Amino acid sequence: MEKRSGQDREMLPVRDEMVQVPGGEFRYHASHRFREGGFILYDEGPRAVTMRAFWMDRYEVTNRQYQRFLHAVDYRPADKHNFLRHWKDGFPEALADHPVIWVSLDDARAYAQWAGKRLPTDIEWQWAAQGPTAQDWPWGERFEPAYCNGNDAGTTPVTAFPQNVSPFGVCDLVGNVWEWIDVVCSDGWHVWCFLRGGGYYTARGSHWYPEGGPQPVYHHHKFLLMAPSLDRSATIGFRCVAADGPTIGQTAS
Amino acid sequence: MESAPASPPMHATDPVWRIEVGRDNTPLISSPFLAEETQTFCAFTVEDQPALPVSVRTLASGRWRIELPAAGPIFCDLAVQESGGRFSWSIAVHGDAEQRTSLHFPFLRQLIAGAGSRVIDLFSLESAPGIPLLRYRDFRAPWAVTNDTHSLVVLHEGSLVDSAYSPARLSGVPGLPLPLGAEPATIYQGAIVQVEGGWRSAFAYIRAHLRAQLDLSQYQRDDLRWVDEQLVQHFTFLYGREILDLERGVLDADRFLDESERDFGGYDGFLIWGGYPRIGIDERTQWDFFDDLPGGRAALRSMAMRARQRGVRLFVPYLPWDRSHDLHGRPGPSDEEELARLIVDVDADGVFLDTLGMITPEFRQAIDRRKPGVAFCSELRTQGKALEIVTSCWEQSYTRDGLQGNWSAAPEYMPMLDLWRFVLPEHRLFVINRHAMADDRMRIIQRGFFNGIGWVVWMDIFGLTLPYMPAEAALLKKCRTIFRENLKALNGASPTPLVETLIPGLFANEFAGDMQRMWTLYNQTDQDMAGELMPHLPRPDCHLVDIWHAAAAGISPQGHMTATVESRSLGCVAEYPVLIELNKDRSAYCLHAPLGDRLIVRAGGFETELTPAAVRDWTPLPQGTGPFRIRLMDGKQVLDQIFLSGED
Repeated sequence: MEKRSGQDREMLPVRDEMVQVPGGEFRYHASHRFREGGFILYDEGPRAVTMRAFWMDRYEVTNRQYQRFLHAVDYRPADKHNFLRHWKDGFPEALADHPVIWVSLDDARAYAQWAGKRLPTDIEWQWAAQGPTAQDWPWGERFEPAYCNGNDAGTTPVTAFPQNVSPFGVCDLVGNVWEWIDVVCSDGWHVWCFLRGGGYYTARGSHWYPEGGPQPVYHHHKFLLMAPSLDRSATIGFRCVAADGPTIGQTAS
Repeated sequence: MESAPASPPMHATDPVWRIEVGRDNTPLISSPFLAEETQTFCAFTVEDQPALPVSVRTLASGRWRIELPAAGPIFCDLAVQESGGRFSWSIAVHGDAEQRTSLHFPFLRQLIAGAGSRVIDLFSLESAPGIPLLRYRDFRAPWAVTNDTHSLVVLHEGSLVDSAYSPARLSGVPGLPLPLGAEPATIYQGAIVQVEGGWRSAFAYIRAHLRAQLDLSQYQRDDLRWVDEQLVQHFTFLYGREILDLERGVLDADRFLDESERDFGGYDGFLIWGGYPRIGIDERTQWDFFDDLPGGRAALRSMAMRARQRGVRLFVPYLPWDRSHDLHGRPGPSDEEELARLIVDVDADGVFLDTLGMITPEFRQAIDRRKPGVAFCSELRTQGKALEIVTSCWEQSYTRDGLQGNWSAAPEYMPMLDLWRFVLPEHRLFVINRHAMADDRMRIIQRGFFNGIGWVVWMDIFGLTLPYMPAEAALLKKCRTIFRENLKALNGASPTPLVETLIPGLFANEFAGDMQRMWTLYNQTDQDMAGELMPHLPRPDCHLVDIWHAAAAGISPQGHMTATVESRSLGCVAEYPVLIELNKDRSAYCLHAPLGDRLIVRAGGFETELTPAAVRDWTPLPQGTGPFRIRLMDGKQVLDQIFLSGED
């Protein structure tokens, strides 16, 4: 397990860094906000889980990293609508180290596959975020608005909030962008997956809107999948995990 | 035959009410329409304190002040007037303390219309304990005491549209909450009017009285006539397999419509719903979502076109609560502009207003300018002035628990009657209780049929799936088919609720068109009913058909309609003018019909169609094993039908 101070982290190059999340025992219990239609029926746990160690991207995948993937691989989604909607001939330079957004679950999976990684499961994400002490936020028990991006204005660099770090050293897990979780479920009528962490944006004025802003580590959001055109979003990004360390895949070009 | 008068009926001209100051200055009323002299015209109480002593003072002729000294500074002024057979009253409650008060009208319970009179109590408690038979919300409900020759209609007057309180049950007591510091105001006005004729005439008067308070010009628009044929609408949740191809991520309207025909006999309209629960995950507005659905607006336009080719209309939702962009200081074009643009882009037929019960005339006009013939439908019950603009709405469950909210499946009761349906038959209603299952869902389907209104089929409640059982779908299909084939009666201008029946527990509504009439029936008892059901005054040259059972109905020697209604079930009888003529020529029947575009002869499980050319001349009945069911059609409409046993 690798831990650094916030000051150190700001000095680091962002792009390839992974941290090892150790194995351990934990009590997995994901809760949800209940809305009409059974959002979310997937109230999982509580149950005891034995985790094996794995590696997780320290930060969300950034625009710069995603562009490197596109330069390396001829990835063309069949439905391009809204794909990297915020890019114009590549990402805006100011957004280089912001998490990549406007990517579908498949767009994220494609990146992960190229990088020799995969997307995390719901359990992995929560373990990495809460650590053995099962605290509600990566940094502790209390929500601290200044520790993460809930600014309503847009994404911030993945290193912008040094306090937004889990006990295992994984950063920027809550706020900034929701993160795709590769647990895809179906009841035969719908297909859905889960999002984690909450994003920068809170829709205002109606309780029918989804929960907005940074979310505690035990919270997940049931996200009915329709089509990439609608599923891609300004508030959804991703990070990857791998069984082994960060030497695999990352240097491919 | 008792027909509904086109103009308000004659009133009695002789003075019929005598008002005196009785004992203790209490107004004393007597009238031939009262069973006995009434000492107390109106009793005024503070709720939960019914035993408070009351003092009555005469202010002037016909004016009294009722005080409750023990209740504090609260009193009630009563004025009554009688002229031309119309007895009216108004009451103002004064008070500067927040109190729940009640007005009692004991004399109303003593009204009689003469021998054989019966009360048409619009809030009858007889059908199920604690459950009103009729639903008649948000304006002051009239009621009537009636017999065969004349009726007394009790009108709760004042403004229909500005009614500030929900009336309590008329057989009981209106409860009047007084706001703190309320100005003295006239809060209750009523009148009793004598109407010639029985209940149908009384109801015709009530209907005319209420309609006169509304501008109904929107309902006369030719470009909105298509709405008259909307019977079953589907709530189409775009994230579910009903329309979404889960593998390909595309909206497959053709498969959706094929399956709707297979399972339900088709829908008349469908509402595409892609907003909730997704909208708000980011800054995109509801209008942006239409760009981002698979294929964008062009695909939806194509979907609307393909649906219309199959006779199905497409509705788009308008989510009035989607205001986040404004609240974040990023206002876009107005909702009127965006909605109009959406309607044009998609070529939508209608707009579902979700939780918005009222739109401004300007909003309506903004849409009209861009595309004619766009229907508006609200999730909420359209009330008051909104009825003039929003010409259709959902009929959601009366018993839905507001606190439990949308996740509660409220119990459903039959029969329940929606009186607005009969006051304003042009206003299309669609019954839905989204969470009702099993018996409750069956009662919802029954309620739609009994009331002569449409239905919403909603099986995917934002991800919670409640598919229809085959029996439910079959019942709905049967109900819709009967309505489609008898729209002229269903949409007639003079329907009457709760016409008289001969059997306790049998309820009947009458839908009268120019050519045809139809009665929807409900048997509330545990016994099947067969034989004489209700008094019947036949129109000349007409005959009765039990269309629920596809069998002949009859008229008994006593002049009563005879048909069958099973226990806890619906029934339906139609009256058609005799158009199919039969002649027996030697051993074969010959047919003739002066109208219609085809005859459908069903015998031995097979149907044969005869074209107009064949039936304008006498044509032999096709060979087959009886019994025969012969229907004269004009498009989807049945003009006449007859039954032959095939044995004679």
